[in-house]
Amino acid sequence: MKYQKPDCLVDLDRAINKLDFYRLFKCLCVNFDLDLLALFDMNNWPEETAIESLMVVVNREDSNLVDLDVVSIENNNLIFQNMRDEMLHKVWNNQNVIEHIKFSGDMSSTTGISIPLHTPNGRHFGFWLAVPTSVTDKIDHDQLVYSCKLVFQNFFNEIILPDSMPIISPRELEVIRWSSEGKTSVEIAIILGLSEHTINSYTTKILQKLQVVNRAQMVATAIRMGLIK
Amino acid sequence: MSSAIEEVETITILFVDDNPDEFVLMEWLVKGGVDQNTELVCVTDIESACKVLDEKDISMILLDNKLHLNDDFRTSVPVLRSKAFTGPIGIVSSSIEPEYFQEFEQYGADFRIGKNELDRNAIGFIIDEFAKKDTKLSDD
Amino acid sequence: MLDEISLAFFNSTPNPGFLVNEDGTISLINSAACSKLQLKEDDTIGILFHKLFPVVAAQNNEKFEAITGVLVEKDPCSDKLRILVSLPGLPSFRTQITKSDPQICRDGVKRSIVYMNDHGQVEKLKDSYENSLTLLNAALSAIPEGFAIYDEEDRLQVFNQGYMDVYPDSVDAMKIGTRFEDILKYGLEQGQYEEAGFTEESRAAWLKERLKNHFNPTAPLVQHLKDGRYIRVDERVLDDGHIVGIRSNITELMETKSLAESLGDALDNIAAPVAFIDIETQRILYGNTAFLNNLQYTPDEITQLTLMDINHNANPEKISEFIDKIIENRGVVQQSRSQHVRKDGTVYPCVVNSICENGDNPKRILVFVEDESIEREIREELDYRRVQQETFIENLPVFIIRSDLDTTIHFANELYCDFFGVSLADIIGVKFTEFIHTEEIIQNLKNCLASLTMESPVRTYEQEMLSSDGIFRTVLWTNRLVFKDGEPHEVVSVGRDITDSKLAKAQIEEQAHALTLRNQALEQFAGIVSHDLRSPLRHIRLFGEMLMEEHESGNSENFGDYISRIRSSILRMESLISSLLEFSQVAYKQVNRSRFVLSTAIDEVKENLAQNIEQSGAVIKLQNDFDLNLDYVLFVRLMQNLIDNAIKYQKDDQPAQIQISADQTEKNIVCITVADNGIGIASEQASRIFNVFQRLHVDEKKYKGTGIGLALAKRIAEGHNGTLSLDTDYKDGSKFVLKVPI
Repeated sequence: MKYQKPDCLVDLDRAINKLDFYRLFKCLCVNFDLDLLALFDMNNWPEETAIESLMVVVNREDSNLVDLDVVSIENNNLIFQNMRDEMLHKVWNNQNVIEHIKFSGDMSSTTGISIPLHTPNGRHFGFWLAVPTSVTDKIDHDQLVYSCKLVFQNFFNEIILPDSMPIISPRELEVIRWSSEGKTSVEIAIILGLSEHTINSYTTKILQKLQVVNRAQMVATAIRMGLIK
Repeated sequence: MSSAIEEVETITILFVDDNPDEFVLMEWLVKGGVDQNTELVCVTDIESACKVLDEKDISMILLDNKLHLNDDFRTSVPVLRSKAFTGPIGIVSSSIEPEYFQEFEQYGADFRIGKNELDRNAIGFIIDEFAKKDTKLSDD
Repeated sequence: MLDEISLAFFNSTPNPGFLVNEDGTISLINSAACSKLQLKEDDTIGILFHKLFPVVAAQNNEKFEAITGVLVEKDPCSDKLRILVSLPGLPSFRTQITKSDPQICRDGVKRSIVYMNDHGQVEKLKDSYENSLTLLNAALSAIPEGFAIYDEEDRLQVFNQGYMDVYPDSVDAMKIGTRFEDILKYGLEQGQYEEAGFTEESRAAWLKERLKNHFNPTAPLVQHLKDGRYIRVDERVLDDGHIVGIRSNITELMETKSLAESLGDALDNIAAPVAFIDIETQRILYGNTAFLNNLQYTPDEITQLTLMDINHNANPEKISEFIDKIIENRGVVQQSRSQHVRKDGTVYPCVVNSICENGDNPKRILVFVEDESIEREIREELDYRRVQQETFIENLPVFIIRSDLDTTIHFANELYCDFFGVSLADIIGVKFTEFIHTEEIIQNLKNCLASLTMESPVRTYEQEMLSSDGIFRTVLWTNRLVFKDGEPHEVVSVGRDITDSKLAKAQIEEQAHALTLRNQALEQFAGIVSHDLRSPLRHIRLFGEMLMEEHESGNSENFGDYISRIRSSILRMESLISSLLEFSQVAYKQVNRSRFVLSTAIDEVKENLAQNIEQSGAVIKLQNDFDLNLDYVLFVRLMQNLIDNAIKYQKDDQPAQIQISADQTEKNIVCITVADNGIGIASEQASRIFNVFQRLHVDEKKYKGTGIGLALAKRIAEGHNGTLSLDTDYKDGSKFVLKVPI
């Protein structure tokens, strides 16, 4: 094979939560000298101009980047069109970047790389990488794109996909059961010895899976489906 | 997450490590890495940490893996959870390679990170992801 | 839609693949194409696919354009195309391609994926080629004969100038990779092979016969070509299916030879002896190779002989009578029995079939000889082999014994006799149990024999046996019960002396143990470097960054604090590194045992630790002395580390009381204990304290050290094949127990 998994991704298969993936993306940034790596959910664009970012990793000490959680992108933005509609990654020179990337801070000496990602079930994502123009020639671009795709593949399987799979895990079932007895997140957290954050992320996942909007509906649906008595 | 309507919250982080040098470093990292008002409380052992939990409202705990007399996080996290602490607990260790780290969720921890990976951006990410109150789900 | 998965497959499949635009130009190639076909992405993208790989007509000589058309048009039948692949330095080969329907790609352009069904052909070609090609080509160009090799699928692989010279009309068809049949067909069209005739039927028949001979060559062929040349064809099929052919021009030979000789040439390779006899003189005109070999004469010698010379006890009248009979019945085979005399005077029986030349004035008789002695030779050959086998058995480095069921021996080889110092005559007919008196051996043998059945007639076991020179050797016996007519008949025992290999195995195990210990130490070493050394390094880096940041902001109030923290990190690293060095040196040191008494070693320890002992007020008591046989330097080090540890962890208000005693608890093992009244070690820590750099106490100002002492002590104990452990039942402090073989 021409491409190899870079050494910095030895922990690739051990990553299970978002921070683990943050660490992997950070490793990529350090390894390839990137200033910024952002992973966007492109599924609603360009129908909606707001794009949610699933992961933002900044690898620059003097970061004065504006909030990247949700960015607004016009539907004629060439860079984002590449991410949404094309197959191969593209390298954008300094002028392109300044013209099209308005959400970020000072980009005057930055080269950009956009990487379109299309999943087998027809969902679309994209990487936006910012590289200092001075080092862009020294990077093996193909190796970089390959590495990003490797991490994304695991990110998709571990973080994105489970949210959309209608299978209730044993832990999630416990959360439903305790909710049905009127326990709050904090109380369930104490009972199960977990953090409220974890309980809330379980609950959010359950709501998505059962396609309901609040806890009352969640409990009702679970009883109707025979998940709990 | 537009910051205009968000009221300024103070995030109190409890940091447990047996090496006091780490406190100075963590203070420096947190101070420079986060926009929010943050307060860092540092203690060297689990007993003192439990005492702090009784006295203060703690948003998050950062826990050194190998503390004096306690084997590792697999014993120390349950002790903290037994104090009914429901905030996030993160394991901070100079090496997170041992196989048992893969089961951190089972022992009630929320995340793990290597000390060498911990910089201001990472601290910012952790606070965004785990410690901010607005990720809470209301108990409707 | 071409999705990520197809693309990932495209990139990872071992088959060369191409993404081809609708106009036939290549838009992407995969890594297999890069590596296997030695293509460069830059050189291929944008090039027309069929320019790079000419399409070969699958059937019916389809036109080029038509085929390149189907490559890019939507045509479900077009996936059986064959293309010609040419690689630099290798002969071109044909291969099949598979083409997907055009898919709309992300950029809206329709593209097809084309895979080359490679089947490892490239590697195969490369391997078989690069090894032999250079040498072969040089050699081939030097020989005048035509030479060709066809591979197992009958495609031309190698040929030389001579081969082209032999078939000048077929030269245009001689391309590497062309099948033999196609070359023949081409030659037939050109009228190359005169003997094939000129009608379609005769040519088809000739082709069939020629191919049959090609694939199963029995004897050389002679071909008559249209320009009058005679070509001798020698072909051989190799084990791997390759066919090697040699063509020699024998036109001159053919023209100058008499009929008999030319016939003889063809007959030469027949296995049966054949000869021509002159009717007039009864002289032998010609004998083929088999005939000559049988009678042991050279071709020149044989033509000097008459029938009288080769027939044993020949009667001239009878011979003449028989010849007349043959002439009378010309064209009909006459059979007779005879005895032929070889050159060396030996005689062999044979059957002679004779036939006379047709025509009014016959001159020659053709004679076929059937050698009746062959059967006898086979018998002799078998005898010879039996002798060989016996010699072989005698020379085998194993014991071989055949015995009856009651262990009565009826055969034993020399080696066995030598081992027990007996002669064969002494033990034949004797029961095994009568000259072996060790009860254990007899019992083992009996148990083994009793367990043998028809279903499992073989059993193998190890047995210690005393050899005649008084040394115990380990023999691996395999006993086999042999059945005759369904009943147990005899026992064949084969024994192998495995004493040396067992010894070697034990040595290897010992070395492996030592190696494991070293590897463990090495692993620990690596773990420490990555873990324990990383932490102070990180501190130095971060405090340095803090200094820089403060310096930039013009704030200097914390400078002193940060610098002193950096300094202490550096000191810690220095002490870690020197301890590690020390550890690795001891961990790899050879153990040199010598005799000394325990008190000498303890005195030296006291001297080494004099300052510490004085400052702490520790008291060291040796309860009893003991003779030891250990590595003195290492042992002193071990004791010094244990005592140092006891002093280091004494209670605040209480000088250490250290008690040392020695005792022989088991055979050859001395047990030395070092007990103190210090702060003690919790039992759950017992297994961890021996790890390198294990810190049990956070407050380093109070309890100094890098925690390497106990790890080192344990290493030394293990180096002596001993153990060092913590007595967890001891409650008044800590008590270490050292057990080493002396």
